[in-house]
Amino acid sequence: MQNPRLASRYAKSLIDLVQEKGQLEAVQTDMLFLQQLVKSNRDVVSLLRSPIIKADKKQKIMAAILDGRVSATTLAFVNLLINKARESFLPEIAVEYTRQYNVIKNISMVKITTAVALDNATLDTIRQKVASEIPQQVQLETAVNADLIGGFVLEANDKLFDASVARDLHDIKKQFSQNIYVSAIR
Amino acid sequence: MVDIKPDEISAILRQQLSNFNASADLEEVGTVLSVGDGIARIYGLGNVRYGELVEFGNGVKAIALNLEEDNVGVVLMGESQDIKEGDKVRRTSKIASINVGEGLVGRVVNTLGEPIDGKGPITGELYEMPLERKAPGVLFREPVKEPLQTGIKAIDAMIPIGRGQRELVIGDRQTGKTAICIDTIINQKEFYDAGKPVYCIYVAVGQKASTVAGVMKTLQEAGAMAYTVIVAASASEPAPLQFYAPFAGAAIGEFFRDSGRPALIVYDDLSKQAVAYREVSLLLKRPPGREAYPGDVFYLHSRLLERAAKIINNDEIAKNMNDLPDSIKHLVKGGGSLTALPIIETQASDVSAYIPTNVISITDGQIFLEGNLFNAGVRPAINVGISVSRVGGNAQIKSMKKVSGTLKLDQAQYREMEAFSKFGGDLDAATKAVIDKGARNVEILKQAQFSPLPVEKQVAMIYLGTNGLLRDVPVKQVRAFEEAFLNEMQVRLADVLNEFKKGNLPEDGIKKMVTLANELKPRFI
Repeated sequence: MQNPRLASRYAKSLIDLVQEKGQLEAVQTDMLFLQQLVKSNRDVVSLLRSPIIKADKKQKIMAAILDGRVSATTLAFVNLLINKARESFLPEIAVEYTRQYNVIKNISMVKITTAVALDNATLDTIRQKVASEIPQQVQLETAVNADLIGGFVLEANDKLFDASVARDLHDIKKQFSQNIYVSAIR
Repeated sequence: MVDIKPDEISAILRQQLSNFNASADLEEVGTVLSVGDGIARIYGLGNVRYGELVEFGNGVKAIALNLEEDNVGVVLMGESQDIKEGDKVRRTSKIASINVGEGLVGRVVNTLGEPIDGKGPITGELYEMPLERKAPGVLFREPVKEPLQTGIKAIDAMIPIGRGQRELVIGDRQTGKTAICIDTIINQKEFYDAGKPVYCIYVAVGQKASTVAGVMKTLQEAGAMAYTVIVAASASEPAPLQFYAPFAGAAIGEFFRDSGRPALIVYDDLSKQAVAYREVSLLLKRPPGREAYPGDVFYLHSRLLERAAKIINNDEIAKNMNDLPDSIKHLVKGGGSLTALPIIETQASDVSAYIPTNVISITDGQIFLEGNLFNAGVRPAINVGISVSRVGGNAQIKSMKKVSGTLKLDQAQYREMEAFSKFGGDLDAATKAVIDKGARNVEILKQAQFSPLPVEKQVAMIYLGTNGLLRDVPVKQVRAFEEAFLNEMQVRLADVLNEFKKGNLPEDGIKKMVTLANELKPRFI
């Protein structure tokens, strides 16, 4: 289960430390690398979650994976998590770190999902349009999901703008799932 | 889908397609962290308010009841099996509310105000009323003084209920609690026919759907659905729908109350509602108290029953009533009332359990039903000794007040003497007289189900009883005599009955009535 409170506490303490040390950007790159790592490699997640593998072994494995690829601070942080038996929350903490980093840097992440890949000209138009609406610096993320059939879904900071064909069809389906001409009490 | 006509199908299609709005809106969303036991924890939804409705992707609605530092606890108002971790939840920016209007009358709806009787959409203009609303303040109320006729002799004579009162109906299972309330609803037909309807709302909480269907059928056959709304949350519905059902009923009642009309609401029953509330509270990890009910179960009932009120008969003052929803502000009139008949089911006659004592202390009196009396054939099985109405005589018409003044005391004396007489032996004449009269009064107060009696006939019959005029009629014949007597009264002395109804007790009318009674007596001796 996710644990947002825990993730935000660990991410905040890490961000406070690296701000003092002036390594904010370096650790952000590390966190993106970690997010990429757990996304592309299912085994790493299983390793982190496994209650059978001992902590010292986990530390050795993580050190072998991360050594030379991330900064010393990040490696120390991962070791700390393993010592505290919180390593299974590492992916969540990495995401939370990025979120808090964006707040500090005044960056707004906007995710656009479409049914087919967008060309650069369209993306530029969307970027400009979104930038004019949102005061922060906008970082546009794109995704392709054929299930949408058509249209697009725009997500930013807990806000969602769903103009996809799939959503419309779903809404129509929902309306027809209820039949007020058939009695429910008998 | 068998009993549906083709034109109805096209009507549905047309209506639903015309409602369909394809434009997208900016939504605030959160993500499901965990779901189970009818509760979901949501991450995000930073701006959600307490009691706000949220909607899941599959259309299931939920109410935000726990706003915590890092998550929002919501109670689901539908099935939880299609909801997964990571699903999106969106705010609706609506506080839990129900759409109310004249079109609801005669319909069966669920807690959300959606029709479930298969008769199509609710017609007419609808006004949005919040489920949770503060009761009217002291300034906007009036003392209870107008009677609400139940049509049950024992109640109207000894435990009178006034419009705006809250009278608890309490008793074990199978003692006729629901029957009393249904009879009361049926008795309001008289006022509906006279063009001054008392709108009735029957809230069924946690009952079998078949029981609700039975109540609906009874009311339909009695012609009472024409002024009645049924709110049903049957036992198969999720717990939040069950504990919110009385609030939905109260919101409907308030619509009539605040537009200057009298309304009657029956909560059947509040013990099941408390159980549903306990279930939700425990799942939300609120600390349990006595009998594992949460600490605010008293507040749950007190705020609900406080909404029953008699509104001041002054439009100007009523218009400034506190917490009026914007939607009905232009309709507000004074003089309306909402009378509440909450029902509580006791276990083995234990009135000192937690929920019964709570509700007894909140209401303005209680009607206590007893299994022993029921089995002894005294139906309605009202225990007159411990049933009270704290509003009392103010809520009786004058004629009834005069006639029934001594009835309660007489019956108390009778019960005491009766206990003595069981030892056998000779009794003095005075005691014998008390016992004879009491036994006949008990017969008079018996009444068949679904046959409420108009107040003027009650006055006539109780006059004979309290004045000892039935002395010569054998106890077993009293009910037969009553039927014949009231029929004759209706035919021959309709004008006298009319006077009784107006609240008068004319001397010559009474003389005529007594002569009539004496004429009829020999047939039954």
